[in-house]
Amino acid sequence: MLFHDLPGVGVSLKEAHLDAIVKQQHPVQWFELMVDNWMAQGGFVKAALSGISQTYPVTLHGVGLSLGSIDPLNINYLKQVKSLIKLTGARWYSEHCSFSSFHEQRVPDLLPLPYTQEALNHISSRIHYVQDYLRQPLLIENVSSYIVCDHNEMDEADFLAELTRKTDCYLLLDINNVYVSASNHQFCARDYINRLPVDRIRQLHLAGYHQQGDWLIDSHSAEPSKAVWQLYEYFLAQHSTDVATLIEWDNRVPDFDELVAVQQRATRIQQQAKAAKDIGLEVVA
Amino acid sequence: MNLYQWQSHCFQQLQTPTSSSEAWNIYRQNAQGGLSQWLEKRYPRVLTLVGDECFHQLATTFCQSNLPNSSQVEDYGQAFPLFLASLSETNANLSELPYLAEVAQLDNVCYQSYYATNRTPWPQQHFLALTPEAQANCRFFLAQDVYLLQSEWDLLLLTQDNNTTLTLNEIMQTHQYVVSRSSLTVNIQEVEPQDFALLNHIVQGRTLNEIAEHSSALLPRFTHLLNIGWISHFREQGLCDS
Repeated sequence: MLFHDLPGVGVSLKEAHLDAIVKQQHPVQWFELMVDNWMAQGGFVKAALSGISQTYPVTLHGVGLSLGSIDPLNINYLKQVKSLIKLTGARWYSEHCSFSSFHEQRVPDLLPLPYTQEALNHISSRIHYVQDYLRQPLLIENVSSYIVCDHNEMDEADFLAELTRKTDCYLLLDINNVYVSASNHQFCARDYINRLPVDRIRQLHLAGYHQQGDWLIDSHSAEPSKAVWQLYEYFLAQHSTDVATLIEWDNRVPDFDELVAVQQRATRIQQQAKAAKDIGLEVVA
Repeated sequence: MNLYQWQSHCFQQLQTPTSSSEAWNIYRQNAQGGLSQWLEKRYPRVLTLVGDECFHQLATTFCQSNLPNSSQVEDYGQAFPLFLASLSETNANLSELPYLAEVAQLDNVCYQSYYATNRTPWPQQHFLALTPEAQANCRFFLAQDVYLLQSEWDLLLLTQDNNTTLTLNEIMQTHQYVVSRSSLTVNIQEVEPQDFALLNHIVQGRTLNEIAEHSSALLPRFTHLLNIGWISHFREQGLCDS
């Protein structure tokens, strides 16, 4: 798997943008596909997938595997992911460190695990299974959260670090999720990032939240906030500029030009960080 | 608290809450919002007919008693037309829209047709190689994007723009439709009664012999349905699909 050859900053692929992507000149050089939206076998989906993946590099991202659940893994779902990887030549497939199902019922949200040794062993064994099945390493994303289990034995950063050690999986660091959870649970976002194994981080997500009273809600319905941009700059300056970055915008999706403007902002930040590192400047955002 | 207990606790808080904490409310709102958005995408004609506010109320009620139970969101919401039908019997506001459940069913099959597997060519050589007797005993299958829909209402007229002046009498007529996809576009087509009857026989798994027993007048239309691609494959008696 080639990790470092995704050029610039990517965006998540939306059906509403396909026409613009095909007809316009634009600077986006790769796209991420939400696998759960692209599993149909025919018609528009198959045509669009073939067209996009023949023209651009793609990555796959999922929300439907419920990796942390005690329910059995959905092998039919995994089979479809495997087909999509084959069809699109995706660089990698990422999922979340969370659960969404219990006793075969599901919620369209990503619920946090208890950060215990038992949960770590459980999700590790499932990641091993998925990696063996797909014959490639997974990228695991940190989720945003509003609740914390009172019985945690470690915090989320340590849990994720241990997960990479036990399974050899990689991390997809969602900068917005770190900021949202840090604000909701009153911890230091930078400290959280600093304690992750940076050499295992292969992708970053940038997205927008909205505020509801004292809470930040991970809504993917706006461009990243100033604080999230600053945390992104911090990551690039302190850790690595060699990680693929993706803009997520899933609700109240803007037109493609507006999305590209956000992608261009991320691209400029990334280029500036690289230039600063090249001349040995230490920039602290 | 072990992993099982934590997951059980979380789902209990989402479904039958015992905690009124703001954090759990956020998860409930997220779950509700996600499912409602999904229904909006799947039922656009219903949304247009009832408006945002009413649709949101209907979706909320539906979602509260219908959590997804499979790993793929594509399956979610298929029961919405039945839910609307049951609700219209008891809900005074919905009784003014007696056709709503059938419009929902139209939305539902349009959605399924749009995402259906692509057609494969009719296995003409294989079929012609059979004896006439074997052909007459074959069972046939519709292409996966082809759906039949019968309604007591003129669904096409109902879902046109500028339909606000229609009276119930104007739209209360039995219609038979086929929903299918050509290339990437879903078509809703009103069909002749004999074509609809023939397609219905095929859906029910009848052989050409059995269809002829019902009405031999239907058989001449069989070739037409083959030519337009609505019949996609067949199964010989006692064998697998071809």
